[in-house]
Amino acid sequence: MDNNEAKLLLAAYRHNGADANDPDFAAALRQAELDPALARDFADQRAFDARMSQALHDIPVPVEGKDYVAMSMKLSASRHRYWWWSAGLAACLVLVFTVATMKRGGVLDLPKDASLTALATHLSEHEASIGLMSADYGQLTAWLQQRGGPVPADLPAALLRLRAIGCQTWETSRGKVSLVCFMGGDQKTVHLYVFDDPKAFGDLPGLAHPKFDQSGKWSLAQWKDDQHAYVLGMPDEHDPEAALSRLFKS
Amino acid sequence: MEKALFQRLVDAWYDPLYRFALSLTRNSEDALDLTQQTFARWGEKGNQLRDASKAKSWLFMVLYREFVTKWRQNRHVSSEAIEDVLKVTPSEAVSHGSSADAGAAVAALASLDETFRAPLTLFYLEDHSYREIAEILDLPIGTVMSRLARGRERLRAKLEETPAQIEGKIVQMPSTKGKRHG
Repeated sequence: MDNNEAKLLLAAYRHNGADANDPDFAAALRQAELDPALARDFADQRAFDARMSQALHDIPVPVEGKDYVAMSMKLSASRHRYWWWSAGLAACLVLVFTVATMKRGGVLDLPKDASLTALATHLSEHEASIGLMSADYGQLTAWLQQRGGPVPADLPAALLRLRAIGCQTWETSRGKVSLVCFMGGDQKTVHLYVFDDPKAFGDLPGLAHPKFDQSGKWSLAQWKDDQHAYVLGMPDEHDPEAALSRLFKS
Repeated sequence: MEKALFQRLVDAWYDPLYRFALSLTRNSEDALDLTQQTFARWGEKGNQLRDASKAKSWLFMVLYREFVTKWRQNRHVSSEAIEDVLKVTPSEAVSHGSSADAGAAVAALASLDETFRAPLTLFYLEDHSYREIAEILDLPIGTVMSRLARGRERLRAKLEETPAQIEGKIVQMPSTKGKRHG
């Protein structure tokens, strides 16, 4: 083996010594021990590689990236659940909504007499698309506003401290509805549904005293302000009300 | 698919995969998309992988193939996009103490042809062995060795020849814009 051959082989030798026991490098390493010029070049190469490796590890990674992955997997799982449910293997309530729900002329047809929480639960299980994914809450509300969707106004302060993930809005037979998703503790997605016309949903409390509810795996809180009715949903099968009520404590 | 395993893979490999994607696309938006698609592929097909220890190579290989089949053919990297990677911008990203030297080094790497950029990035990132690089990029081992040697030479030359142009530029990603999903 001459120096050129040894140099080509050593070009693939990792600077941290991970290849020290690889027999493919043994001859080239011996050559480097015997030849001072090759040894100098090799040491220089390893120092350069160490700096480059450090430089690559210094590239910052957008913090929301992992949330996007988690979110997309949850949405994917949600679509799979839909299939099982429509095959008659799960909750009959959802099946009823499945039959009753159709899109007509771009308007999502929702059951006429369903409660606010039933509508939110239904939307969370059946309308799995996200229109805009962004960690910027201001960008999300601007996007909703541009599309004429209800923009949330009166929200718990602790909710706004969570990282936003994305939003969507629909024109439905029960009025316009917006969804804003946040990433809660334990990587659980928190869904906020905002409905137009709070009077259409009966007597709802204000933000200070939200009404807590449970529907399947969803822990729900509902309230209203002058313009909108809100449903906040979080999947939590262990202590649902406690998890959600924490968001209403400032 | 086991949820816990998936989460472990995301925790362990999201960052290096994003950095590899960024090196290939030279655009943070595309890098986010490419990384996300890679994990989506895992969701679809990862359970076919019999040996869990191969997950790392599998993820990098899928990312590279996604890039080759979709990104590289359909998207032309403009000079503006390259500058976008290099320029100093306020970032919402987590910084691990990027230095001017690091910025110059990564800027030089980003300016190399993909032929050298891909194997070098894998070599420096997570210390992939030349055999792993050959598997991920679907190249003969000899080709990988040659590209590592020649790529390193070009990289050093760029760092030595144009220090004024790249020195002091910290490579930070611009804040993420909205993504269409669904």
